[in-house]
Amino acid sequence: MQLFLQRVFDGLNNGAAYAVVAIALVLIFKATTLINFAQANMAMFGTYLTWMLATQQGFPIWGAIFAAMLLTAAGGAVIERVLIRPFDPTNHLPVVLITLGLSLILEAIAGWKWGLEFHRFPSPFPAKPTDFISIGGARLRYETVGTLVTMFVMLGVLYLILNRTKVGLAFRAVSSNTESSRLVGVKVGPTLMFGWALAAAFGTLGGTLVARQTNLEPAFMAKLVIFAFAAATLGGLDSIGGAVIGAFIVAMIQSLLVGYAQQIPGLQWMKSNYALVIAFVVILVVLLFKPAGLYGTKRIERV
Amino acid sequence: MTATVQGSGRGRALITAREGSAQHRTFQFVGWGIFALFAVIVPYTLPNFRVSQFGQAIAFGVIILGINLIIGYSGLLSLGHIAFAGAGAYTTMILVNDNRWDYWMTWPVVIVICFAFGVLIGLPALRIQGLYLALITIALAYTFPILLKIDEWGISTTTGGDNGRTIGEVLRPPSWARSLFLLNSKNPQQQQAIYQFICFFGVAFVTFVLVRNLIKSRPGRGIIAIRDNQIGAAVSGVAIARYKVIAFGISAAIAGIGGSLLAINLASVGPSSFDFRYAILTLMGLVLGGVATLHGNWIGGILLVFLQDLASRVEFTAIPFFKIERGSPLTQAVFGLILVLVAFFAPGGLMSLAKKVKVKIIRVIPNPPTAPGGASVLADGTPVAEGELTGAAR
Amino acid sequence: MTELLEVTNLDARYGAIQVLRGINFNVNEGEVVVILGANGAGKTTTLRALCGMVSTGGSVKLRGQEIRGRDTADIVRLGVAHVPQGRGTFPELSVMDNLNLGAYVRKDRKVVDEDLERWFEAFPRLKERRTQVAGSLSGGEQQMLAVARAMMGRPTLLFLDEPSLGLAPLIIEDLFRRFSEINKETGTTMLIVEQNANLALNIASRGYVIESGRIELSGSAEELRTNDAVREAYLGA
Repeated sequence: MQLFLQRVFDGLNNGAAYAVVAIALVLIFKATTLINFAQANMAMFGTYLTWMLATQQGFPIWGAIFAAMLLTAAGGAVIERVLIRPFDPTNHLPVVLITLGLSLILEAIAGWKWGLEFHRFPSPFPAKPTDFISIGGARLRYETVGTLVTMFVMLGVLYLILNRTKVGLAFRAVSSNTESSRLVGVKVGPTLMFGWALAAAFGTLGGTLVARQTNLEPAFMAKLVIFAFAAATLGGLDSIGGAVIGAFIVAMIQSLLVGYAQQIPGLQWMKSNYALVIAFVVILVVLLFKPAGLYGTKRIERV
Repeated sequence: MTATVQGSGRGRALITAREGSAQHRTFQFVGWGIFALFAVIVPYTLPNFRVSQFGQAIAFGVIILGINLIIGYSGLLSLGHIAFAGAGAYTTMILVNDNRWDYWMTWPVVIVICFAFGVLIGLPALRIQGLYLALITIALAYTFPILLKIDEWGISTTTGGDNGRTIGEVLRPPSWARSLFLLNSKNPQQQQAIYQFICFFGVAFVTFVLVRNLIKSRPGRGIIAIRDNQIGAAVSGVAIARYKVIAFGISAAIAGIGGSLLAINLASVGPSSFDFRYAILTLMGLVLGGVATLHGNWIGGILLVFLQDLASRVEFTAIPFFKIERGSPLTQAVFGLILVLVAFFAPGGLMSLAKKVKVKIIRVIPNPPTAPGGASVLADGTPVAEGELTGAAR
Repeated sequence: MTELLEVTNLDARYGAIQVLRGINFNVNEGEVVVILGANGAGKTTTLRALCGMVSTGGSVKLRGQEIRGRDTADIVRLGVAHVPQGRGTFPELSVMDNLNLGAYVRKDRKVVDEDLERWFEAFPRLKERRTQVAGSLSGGEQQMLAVARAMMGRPTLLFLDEPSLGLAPLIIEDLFRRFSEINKETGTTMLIVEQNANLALNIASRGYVIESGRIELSGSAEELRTNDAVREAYLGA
């Protein structure tokens, strides 16, 4: 029982972090039907900025996180305006090239500026070995609680932005029917910039929530983003709520499956790269059998 | 004989000729001549390691050809074809090392296995569109090296795990080849290098011709039709599912052959040659060379090999802030930058630039499909009288 | 009668395909004008061209101001509303959200709220379903929503693209009656594009017939109604 609870708590922790990054992916996909292959390294870059502000410029950790979120939001807006908008969204190859290229560039710059070694990332929450609540013998770390709370707060903020502000309404309009939004006078370009800015900020936040556990190095987000993709795909690439639920499902499957698989002979190979394979399988299965995911809008399927 | 030029007239070409005319043929002949010269100069005048590099470029060229078939001509965004190349390479390595097969004998097996693998991936790809497909195939490229390193079921012992394995055999020229290619005066290393290059070159030529004919054939035009207008193609009777799956199969098989060539060229195989990084590099080679062109993949292969070579040796220390030391991570930024720049400025790759140059040199006027005397003809050559309805309109 | 919209020599193309070949027409303030045409004649393209949604040539003047070549969002801000073919609702958004989007460019929140009430009164079914997502409404209700949304912007000029498409005859009758009411009560000028012309001509003052991208006929509604060619082709007589 204790082991089970521990696995559940680990799942909650990862789930919340994946959820935040998955939201970033969903925001962009909703508005543009584009998949941002640079999302991972944009988040990585933002996390490095946070680290730099916190450890070298003496910012308090949450101050650093907010500052980095703002900076990356600005970066996201610029990326949309300069790199994405010039291209016809229905021709996918240029967008793939641009986002992959951007991803490489960001990783390279991070490696050049901050080195390829691993760095310790300061935790946004109390994280001493004694910082946990004991429930049923398992340890619910304060970090887990903090990550969950952060996720809920951000969801709340996102809800308010999307449903109570004019730009949020414009964003939902563009996501729903881009042509009609032009017909009501919405300026689609600036609205998309806003969407990318929001997504970039979310990505950065997601990175800061996991960085402590995985340690900071230029490829750290690239290794994790596949989980966020799996979560988003499972939830339906254009559903924010779906992405959150998908994130927890993916995290729980990983956490529970890994723990129990270790006990089944023949499945031990799963140990180090299990998680990746699970995520891959999730994506594959969802796209094969239910491309709209759990909560996404169904699109007309072609052969 | 020069025909009158009509049409867009975007600047005069140096030469204007009818398709099939003497001038046109001469131009083509000169083109082939330059090409043949290249085939001779490289192996016989350059040092061994350079010859080997060009061989590597050809191997990558074949891999990229496979990728070109699926992305360029079929319009299916498969970014994981490097996994098929890897499958080909490993198949060859295992057969040569563990089963003592002759290198060329491994090819039929490689083709069959990679074709099957391609079909396996192609079937689910039927239900996955556009960027989703890109996503899933990137995941494939990511996962393939991991699968090679699995310790269970003896996998990593066979594949050599993280480090891979070397190949026990090399391409040794048989005696008739030694005489034919004037190798007897050279030392063994040179003989091998030249022979390998010549074989690769032959393979490249054959695959080029095969693919060119494939593109022009009915199935080839079918898959291109699917790429450009799926609904239109379906309505015209093209069996969408079958074509897409076969496209996956064939492109995978070609990539597999390329992988096999690479294996013998490098004399070893390892997971790091077929990972995500190389998925990006081969993609970059393709777009730099020219997507959906017949020659772009070869240019891509050459660029891939020599850009990497350059990147490993480049050093830029002039401006203190922008110092790039040898082997610095910033060299990776160059590749990223290339991808972005290509998307903006040369989506057609170098081949599109080459075409612009060619148009300035010669303008070929295609022959209209008419019978002598100018009357219109049906496909089988029977003449049609004025005003008569043809085909479906009847 | 002041001229509100003046279209001269308007061309429009989709890529390499030219759909409109130099059409000329005008719409005066307060009028209801109809453009009739068969499928593929260019009716929808005309409205889209006026809104800057396709690549165009020629001149389009709104109140004497050239708007051809301008961005759709800018044209809308000048007081033009367009109900596209297929309604153009935001299917995942609620009825309320759809209506609020209609008033997106307006800054006078209080008056917008009053307008909301007014349109809810005119279309009580919309009021009932105001929190429902627009995609769950019936065809007729979506059309009403589309019209109400367009009117929420208090446009001076309203384009309607085949409003009757896909609707049951009784609903279409009701719909056109409402168009006439709106035109009389608010003075909004209307340009309606239709294939099935009976009801449209009943509420219109003038009309044009478009064929293969050219205006072939023009006249008062009465003239068009009694014209033999028009009757055969578009009135099913």
